[in-house]
Amino acid sequence: MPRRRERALMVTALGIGLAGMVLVAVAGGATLEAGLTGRPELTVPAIALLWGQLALAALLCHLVLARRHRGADQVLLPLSLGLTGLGVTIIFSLAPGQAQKQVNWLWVSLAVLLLTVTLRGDIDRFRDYRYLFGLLTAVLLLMTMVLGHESHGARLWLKLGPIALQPGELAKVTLVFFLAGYLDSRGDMLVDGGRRVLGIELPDPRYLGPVVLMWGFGMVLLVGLRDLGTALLFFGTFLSMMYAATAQAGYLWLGGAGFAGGLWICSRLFHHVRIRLDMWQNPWPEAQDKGYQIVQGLFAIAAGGVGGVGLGLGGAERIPAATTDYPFAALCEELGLWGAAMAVALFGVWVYRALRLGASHPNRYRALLSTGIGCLMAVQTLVILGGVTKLIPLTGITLPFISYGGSSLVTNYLLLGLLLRCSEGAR
Amino acid sequence: MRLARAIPRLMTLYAAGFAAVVVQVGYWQLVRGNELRANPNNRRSVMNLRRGRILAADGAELAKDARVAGDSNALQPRYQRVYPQGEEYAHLTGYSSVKYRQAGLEAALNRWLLGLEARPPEPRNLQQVLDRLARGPVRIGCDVTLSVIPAVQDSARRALDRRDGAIVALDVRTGAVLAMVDWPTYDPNRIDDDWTRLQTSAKPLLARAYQEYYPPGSVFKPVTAATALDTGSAAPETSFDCQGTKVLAHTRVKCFNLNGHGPLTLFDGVAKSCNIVLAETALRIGPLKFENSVAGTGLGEAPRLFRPGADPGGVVKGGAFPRGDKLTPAELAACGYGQGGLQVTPLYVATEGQMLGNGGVAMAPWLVSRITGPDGAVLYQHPAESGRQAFSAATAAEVLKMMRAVMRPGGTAAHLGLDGVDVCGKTGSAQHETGKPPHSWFLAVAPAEAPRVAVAAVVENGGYGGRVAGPAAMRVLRVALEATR
Ligand SMILES: [Zn+2]
Repeated sequence: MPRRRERALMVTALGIGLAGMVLVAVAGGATLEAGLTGRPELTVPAIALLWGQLALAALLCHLVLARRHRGADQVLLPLSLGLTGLGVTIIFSLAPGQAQKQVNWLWVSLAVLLLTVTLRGDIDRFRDYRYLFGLLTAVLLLMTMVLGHESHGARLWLKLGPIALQPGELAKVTLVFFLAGYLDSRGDMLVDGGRRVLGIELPDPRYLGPVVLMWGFGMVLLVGLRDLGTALLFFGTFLSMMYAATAQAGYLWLGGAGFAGGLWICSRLFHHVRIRLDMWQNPWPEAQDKGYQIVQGLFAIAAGGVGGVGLGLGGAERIPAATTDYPFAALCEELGLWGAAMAVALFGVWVYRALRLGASHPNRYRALLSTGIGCLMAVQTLVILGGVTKLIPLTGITLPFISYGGSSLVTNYLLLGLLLRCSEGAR
Repeated sequence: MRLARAIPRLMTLYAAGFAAVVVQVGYWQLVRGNELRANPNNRRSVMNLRRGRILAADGAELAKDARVAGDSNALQPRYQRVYPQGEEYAHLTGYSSVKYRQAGLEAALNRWLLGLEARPPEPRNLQQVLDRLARGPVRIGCDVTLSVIPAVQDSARRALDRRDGAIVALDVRTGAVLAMVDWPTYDPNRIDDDWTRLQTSAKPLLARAYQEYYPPGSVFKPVTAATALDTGSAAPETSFDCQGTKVLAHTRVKCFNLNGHGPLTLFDGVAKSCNIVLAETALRIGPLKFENSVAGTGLGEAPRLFRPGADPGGVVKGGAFPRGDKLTPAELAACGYGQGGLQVTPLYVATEGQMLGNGGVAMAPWLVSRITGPDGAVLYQHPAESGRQAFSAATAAEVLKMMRAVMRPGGTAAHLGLDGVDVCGKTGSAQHETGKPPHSWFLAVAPAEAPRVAVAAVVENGGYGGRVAGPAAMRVLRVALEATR
């Protein structure tokens, strides 16, 4: 039977997931008959149902891949499902009612994943539509900017009747397609004529056009969407890919300095950006008001200690937007430093697998696509984890695979599907 | 291939980022952990740690943690604060609530009550070892024992009898608080429900005993007399003349006895509470010496009533009085008999009695006698303190004699007294607002030959001191003397 490694990893991930959910339920006082007073969702049948769905989903994906894509990467799928299982467990502990909804979204996500890996046709053909993807990225974001519905101080949601979508999530995918196609066709040109200043290889000023354009775009996002997270994510991914394609550190230095400068100017001009920065530097005096979320998040992290208070025993549900923006703080509280380090390591392995594919794939377009997906995942994870731990200003973006939310989960599995697709034919 | 060259470096960059996140999590958990767990905004501490108890001197429970009703979670039980004595001890214990955090002693000793200042108990069996590995050290709050004696506290509550004001009883020899009540007050069990109702102009959340200022009126006169003796500005037999009113420092000073006391000594001036004698005495002392001497009694300092740690727990300065250029001759004369810009807390007036009864040595008042860890180990024991020599022993003895005369025929409180005990006292009727009756004050120190207890009582708008605050103070004094025998 092929894909043995995937199967073994999958069983491990599901085993850990089952143990986690049982612990949450036991902590909540669940019995065979009924759950704890006030939390009737925590029953043994409810856990069996949740976990059964995860196991079924894993089995289905594994079988489809074993049949259709024997050569695809065997680590990424168990890793992603393991992270999702961890996410469902945390959501189960924070807000039991949201856990089944998240599993519903997992089903949608897997449908998208399976569609992505089974559809016939050659992924390389997307290269020709690179500018269309660029345009689509801009349109999706501008659409949010103009028609978006404001929530938690950021304009990220688009309401279509009863469904609220985040077009910004889809824009992440189109951005990666655009950048991969653009760098595949123009990458070599961007390298020419570089010179060294103070030991740093600087790009030729003639080719800084795209950098300036993306920088301007990032600033428009920051002002228009009132959202530092999306701007940071898009610009960070762009710079990472520019560097990956050209191996010129100058892009990182110039881009990073440019973004910091732009952020500083925006903080002088716009109140919401200034508040973000102030609450990063010193949230303590505003602990009951503007700094409430970040301070409560830090309390949750501190409560965990090395070993954690135990699954289902944390008090992180009092953090605003705990399941969407702050599952990591809940994880730190319930699983402690070891649990947090393990979760970060899982993300690290995910990014490593994607980037390794990018470094070794003989097909340059697919290599760039894999690199882009890896960079996107790394930047997004670092931006939200850095924000929650107060390393960088806090921004309300999701933690991939773990955060509660449909748009985010579906997008992450779409990216996974693309990566699995790219991984075929790799050395 | 540029990708193959750049990607390893990019991976290193991301790996550094991921490592920084883990290090930062460790920083919050290990380096700043204790501080964040004790942060008053962190409600986990209120819900999930079993707070220590607050006990009276005889071991009676004043505050304890009980399981939240309906909580069946055995692994992470939730607690709520219960105050078995209700409102009687509210301003001694303060409150601890999930919604409104902590106040008073509950705030000042928060870290002890949470057990953060004690070593966590060592795990005893395999179950506890595993628990500790999984969830970190278990914290159990420390018990705080107060110096307050319930019998004295009860008598003070009954003596104040729901009149606005406060009563404080101190052990003269150590400064220990034996009783401290005030009115209006609140029920700390119902703080969450009653919060909005408590935000009234009557200020029931304010601990009048150590957070409110009143003009002291005549209860301050012993301090002026002691200062005069200590500085040599006047002697007990120095003679004065009271005609009812007198112009001093271009201001008309009125004695409460409008017909005038006639010729009298400083000794009689204190015993009969003559304003003109004490005003003239203050002018003889002069502003510099007066200011120094009053500062020496601790008036300008906030006593560290809940002593362990640096948190004052809302205790304010003993009082305020005009200093430097503001202490004009007219102000000095008024301060001499306890009016003008002089403001004091009831706790300060009790301290005044304490230092006169203790040979002039002021012992800063204190409330916490002992803190015991979860394993029964004593983590804090109130130390023997040396106090501060505010007046000479001879001066204190002389002034006590004057206060003894207050309780004898011819004195302002001749109608008060205790059987078989010689009591030193001082009445006060402090003017505070025209058209309202004065605040009624009384300060009592006993027994005269070897004082053990000082009691200060104030009843807002109560009228004449000897008639309202006096009997209340005497009731408390009798019980306190029995309790400290
Ligand atoms: Zn007189």
